[in-house]
Amino acid sequence: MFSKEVQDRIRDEFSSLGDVVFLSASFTTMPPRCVQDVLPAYTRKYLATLSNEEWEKWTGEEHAVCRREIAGLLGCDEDEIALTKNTTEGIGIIASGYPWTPGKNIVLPQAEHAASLHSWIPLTEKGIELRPVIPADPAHGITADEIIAATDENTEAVLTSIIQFWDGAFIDMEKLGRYCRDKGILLVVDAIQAVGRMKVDVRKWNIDFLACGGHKGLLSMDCSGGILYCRRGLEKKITPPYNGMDGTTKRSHIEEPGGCVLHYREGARKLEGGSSNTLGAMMFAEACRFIDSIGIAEIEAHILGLEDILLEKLGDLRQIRVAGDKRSGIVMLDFAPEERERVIGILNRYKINATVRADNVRFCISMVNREEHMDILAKAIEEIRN
Amino acid sequence: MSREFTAEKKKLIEKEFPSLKDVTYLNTCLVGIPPLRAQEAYRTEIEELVDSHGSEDDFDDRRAAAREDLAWLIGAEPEEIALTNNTTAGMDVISLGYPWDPDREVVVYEKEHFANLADVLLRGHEGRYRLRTVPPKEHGLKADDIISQISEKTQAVFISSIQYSDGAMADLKKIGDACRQAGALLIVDAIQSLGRIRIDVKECNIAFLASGCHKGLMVRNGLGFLYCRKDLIEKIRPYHGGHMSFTKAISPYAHDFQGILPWHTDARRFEGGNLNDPGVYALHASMSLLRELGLTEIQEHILWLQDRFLHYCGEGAYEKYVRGDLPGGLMIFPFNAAYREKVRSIAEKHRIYGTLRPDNFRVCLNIYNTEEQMKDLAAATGEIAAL
Repeated sequence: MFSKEVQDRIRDEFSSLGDVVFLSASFTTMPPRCVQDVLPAYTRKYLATLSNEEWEKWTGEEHAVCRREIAGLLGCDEDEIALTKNTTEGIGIIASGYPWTPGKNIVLPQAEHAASLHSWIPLTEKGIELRPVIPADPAHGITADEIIAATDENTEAVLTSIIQFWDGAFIDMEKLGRYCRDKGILLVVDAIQAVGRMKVDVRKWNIDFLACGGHKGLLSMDCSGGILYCRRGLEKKITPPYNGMDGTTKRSHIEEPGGCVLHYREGARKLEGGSSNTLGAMMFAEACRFIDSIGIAEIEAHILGLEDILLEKLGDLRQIRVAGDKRSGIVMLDFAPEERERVIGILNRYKINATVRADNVRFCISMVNREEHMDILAKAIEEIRN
Repeated sequence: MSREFTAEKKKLIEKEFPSLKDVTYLNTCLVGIPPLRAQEAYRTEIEELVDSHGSEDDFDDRRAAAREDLAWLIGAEPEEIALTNNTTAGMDVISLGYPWDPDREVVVYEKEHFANLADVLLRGHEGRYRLRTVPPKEHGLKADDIISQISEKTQAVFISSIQYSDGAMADLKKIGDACRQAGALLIVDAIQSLGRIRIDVKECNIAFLASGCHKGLMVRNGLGFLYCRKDLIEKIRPYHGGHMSFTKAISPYAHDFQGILPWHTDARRFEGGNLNDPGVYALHASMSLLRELGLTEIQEHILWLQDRFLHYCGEGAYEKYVRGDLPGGLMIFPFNAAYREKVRSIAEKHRIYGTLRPDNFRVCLNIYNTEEQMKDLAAATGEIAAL
């Protein structure tokens, strides 16, 4: 759990939350004050940067800083990071740009989010089999073993979220990644529910491609865009769907012998298309610095510590669902659809901000939460159950 | 027709762009300056997100308003507009997703901006279509340069409404008519025109148009849009799709893995994943200024500024500085590369901000420029020419 000093700092950075119990980090984010303060700083600089040379220098540096900060958070090098629009675009670049082999298969949990799933479906027309995995016990969520069991000698890739959006199932990535690397299977992950909340290490987990947007655990906003990690060397195999200024060098190509060869930038920058989102890059970088100043391991420990407290308070685990190989700080509470309005009423009364769906509610614990929030949540859950 | 803004409109512009009070900003061809109302929109959006603790629920309304704004801007229908993140993203949806005929040709100018050229070349190289390239034109690209390449084999023409390299504005309507006759698609990168020079997609027979919003539309980089003519939307398979692309949310465990997806039947199918909502909000604010000023009046003001500049330059200036078929308020001033630092000094002395390249200086006229600035620009370009 965080020290009092850290708790006070977080309370100050997120003072706008007041007495709201914010448990919706799996849906959206609350940018801390330091990230909000990027906007006026950016605006001042924008208005003062009037020449093309200054502009290119400034935006180029900010984008580089962003890549470096993100790389630090993910445990990779900055040349393995591309700035994108969002998770969907990052996954789409891999799905449509990698030379997948007809006759091979791609294994993926059936319950993946549309953001990462639908880019793969057109591959079926090219003779690539998509092999969805349904957990044996949907209430328990998907596990690494179940994904591994669905692979065979024809599996070319595994696509999975590190933490499933639907039920918070946290897959044992170390196990899955080691298996995939040993078998020569590419591991493609949607990391948006994990990055900034849990320690993600792309090297340790043998991840080949990772896509993530900035508007959840990365504490930025919808305007911030997304990032794509591409393990060094693999970018050479990808033909980017986007080909613009940022991903290519300025050399002329048209008169070259042999046709129209594009000269891509080195590393993952090849995968960046047109003009990037500088405001978003600056927000990302600031958010990474903030996360780093607290420590991602400490944040993860704090979240899991709070989940422990919640489970202890609830006592009877049957009241809520905790899915996956590992706990993720995301828990689910099922209810009958006709109870939905009553559930919303109770959550509103306790000032709990969570993701209420047709027949369940998702609570996502994040760094902004404190022990007292778990008391309140436990009471609300008890009341819903009763 | 060219005409100066009314005194009332000039006053409104002074109020919206206080940071430009003491400089001559002629670099909208690189990035536009957001008016105060757009700057305010960014701030408000963040405050609303924070104050509502992430529970804002009017994103769909705001996006719809932005699509309506953009449709109004180009004479399209909102259903034909998709919000993207930049010009490249829009262009690549077309070059990658359209069912090209490999035996027919795509005509493209060799000096096009990379935002569309790179992908057009790549897809041609992949054999999706045959490439027919138009070599560089010393006095700028004209409609006839393109039209002479159009035949019954042509399936599309890719062109920028105004060339980023030299400001040449080809007569789009003339090209559009030729495309119509040949049964070819006209695909336009409009980023150097929009917000400054009018484009009507129906009048010009434009099939697809892509643009970023960070130049004449005066929003910060990270937002763009794609116009796709209604009858062509369902012919294009988006290369990726997120929850924004579909008519309904698909419940986990109910996905169809056989390739049948509930794509929107309108251009929203090209909007995959989360959008740059603060940018969308700011765009709506910027567009409200364009509506107040009037698109015709804006174009007239810009052309009037260009007239005044040419007048101050003296005889022969039009032939010297206006390339292509029509003036578009974007010009370049070539110089010997050895004098680049001297050109920089001249621009600094006059407090003029344009695009300083290795061997030319590019300027772009916009709503916030004045006659006094044109006089000063003429003096500065005279000094550059005398080097």
